[in-house]
Amino acid sequence: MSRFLKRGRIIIVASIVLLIITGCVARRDGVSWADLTLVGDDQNILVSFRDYMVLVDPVTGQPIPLTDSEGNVRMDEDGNPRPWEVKNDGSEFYASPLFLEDNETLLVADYNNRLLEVSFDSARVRDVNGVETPGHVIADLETNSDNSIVYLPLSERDLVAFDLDSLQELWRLETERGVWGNPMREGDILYFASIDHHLYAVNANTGSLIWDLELSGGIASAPLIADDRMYVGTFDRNIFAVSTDGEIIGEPFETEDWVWNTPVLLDGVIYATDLSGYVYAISLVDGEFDLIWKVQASEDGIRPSPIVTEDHVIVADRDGRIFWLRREDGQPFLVEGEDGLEPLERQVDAEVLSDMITIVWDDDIESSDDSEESTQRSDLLIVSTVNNSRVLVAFTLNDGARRWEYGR
Amino acid sequence: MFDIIVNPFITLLALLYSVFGNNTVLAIAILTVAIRLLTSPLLIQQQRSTKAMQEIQPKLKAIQEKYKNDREKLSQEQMALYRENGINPLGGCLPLLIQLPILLALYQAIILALAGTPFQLIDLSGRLLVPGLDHLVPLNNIWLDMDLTLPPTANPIYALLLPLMVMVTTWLQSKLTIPTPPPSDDDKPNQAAMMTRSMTTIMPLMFGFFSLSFSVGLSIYFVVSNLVGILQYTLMGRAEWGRLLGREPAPETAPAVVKGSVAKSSTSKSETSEIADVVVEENVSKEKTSNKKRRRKAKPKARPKSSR
Repeated sequence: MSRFLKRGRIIIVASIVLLIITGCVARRDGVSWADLTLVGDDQNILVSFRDYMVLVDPVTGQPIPLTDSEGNVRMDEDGNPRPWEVKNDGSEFYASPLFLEDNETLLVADYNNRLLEVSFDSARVRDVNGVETPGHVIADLETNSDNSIVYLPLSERDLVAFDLDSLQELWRLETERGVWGNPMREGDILYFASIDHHLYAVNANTGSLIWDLELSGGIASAPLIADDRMYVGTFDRNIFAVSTDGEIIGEPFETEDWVWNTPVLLDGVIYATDLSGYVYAISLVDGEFDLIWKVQASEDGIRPSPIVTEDHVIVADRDGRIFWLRREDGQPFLVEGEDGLEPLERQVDAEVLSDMITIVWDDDIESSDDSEESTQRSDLLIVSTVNNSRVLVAFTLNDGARRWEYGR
Repeated sequence: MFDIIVNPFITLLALLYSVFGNNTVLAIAILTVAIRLLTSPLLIQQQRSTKAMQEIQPKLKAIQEKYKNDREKLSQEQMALYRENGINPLGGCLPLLIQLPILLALYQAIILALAGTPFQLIDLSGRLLVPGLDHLVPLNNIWLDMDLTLPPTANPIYALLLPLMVMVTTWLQSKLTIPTPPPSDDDKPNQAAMMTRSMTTIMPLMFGFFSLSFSVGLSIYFVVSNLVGILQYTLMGRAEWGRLLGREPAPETAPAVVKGSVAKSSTSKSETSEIADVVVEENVSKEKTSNKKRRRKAKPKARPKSSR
């Protein structure tokens, strides 16, 4: 008996040691951060994160209830309103779904090598087995111009085209490493980047390679395409300007750290951030980058693309802080505080890695919520954190007033 | 805080990766060998200290027996014995305590460097201390069609050979290097021997089992680390290759001075805990319980002098 007890003790001690060894490495749940998409005229927020997709009301921050064809709220077995939510055991969602057939069907690629069709009306997966995909998907799907082909960027390697009717593989463009950034289609050309350092342009219908350009670092985000040019940031601390013919324009702009987001263009100025917390405003003049301003908004990295408005450049760092900067010079935007003027800065107390979105209201749009408060709508900034208890936090876009929070 | 050690290791790994043709496995192997060699003075120191402690065990036990009812006197006499023999009682643990964070940091560095998902890769950012290495990121984590970031079960079937190799090398290292506690003279079950046997049976199994769920890259680290450990012990003359052929070496401690009680006490807690430390630190495991019979059989034989 004592022998078994001793052996048990040894196993416990050995297990503790191994747990200490392995526990020293911080582990996260899942593989990536949430993806946010605005759906329909109501601009409901569709969150794809880990094992669920949920639709959230942008005015109240509450899950949108499921309704029947007559508009009545559906109830669950306990008599509570059923939220619009897709939750399948064993599924992980990190990419936005594709809306098909006048938004009645969502096509979702999960991280478990499945392509699922979801009924938008009932939030039900039509076939839980789905169609097997040849890899994991963490970037958004894209379609060709006549919606007959869907492109799946695979996180291990390759981009695969599926026929949208049969959901069978049509062709595949091989890459050496994964495609983590969203593919972007311009007419019949599909552009996408890979962490294998390459930028690719392919015929969106046939899959034939038009060109590929090797850059100096891995690319994990979609290129910004504007005015026959592309702007793309790399892990080797550069922002490249590339013509749509696949030629590098001028010298790349050197940043302080990895660039892991799609730059934003407004009024001819490109805004970008890096993982050392720098924010850049640059322009391309006569084929060369020109620095307008550069500030280190945070000592923590900034992963999401900046939100750029007429007056502000808004960035969120890995420490969960959101900074409003003046667009003209990158300096903190000052607001009246308790002790006089102070920088407009907010804290969400969790790491922000997802791209932020804005909700800009038109006057004629009504919310699904009829409360008096919901009628006092203002444009919103939606921030998503990696913390499941604070998946979404909404602020007023212009003054940073905290509006609501959605967690699980 | 731990990043002070981890980040230089990640940087070294990236440098080696760059030097050796973007080969991640080679980089892991070379870094593991380099770190193990750099820490070998600590290992030697630890071994010397362990040996010295084992040599005074009989005297120590005699003192313990003599002053078992007077703790203060016992403590004084023990310290005097240590002084007399020039032994630092912490001499066996200190090198281990220094090595442990280094090996843990190496382990972490490999995990972080093998980033295969956005979450993992963003945690790698800011850790490369030498400018100009960023273009290497993310490191190529495909080797022989295996994804080094995934466990063997999510890789081609031949990846299951790696946990097997982890088990075999862990067993081999412990078989060759863990000293066998001497048998007790009163024929009662020797607790230290039992613990050693249990540990050396369980540890390879545990490491093999954990390797099934750890990334393939870590299995490579375990295998290389074990092989380097075997080489180190062999070069130090502490590896008992004869054990593989069934020849059991003489116990480390001669059961003299106070017969019976000394032999029993030579399986002392300090020794077994030392063994346990070595086992843990080296990822080791050990002997099968079937050794019990063999050892009892060997007991009546004349004991040769220790070859060490």
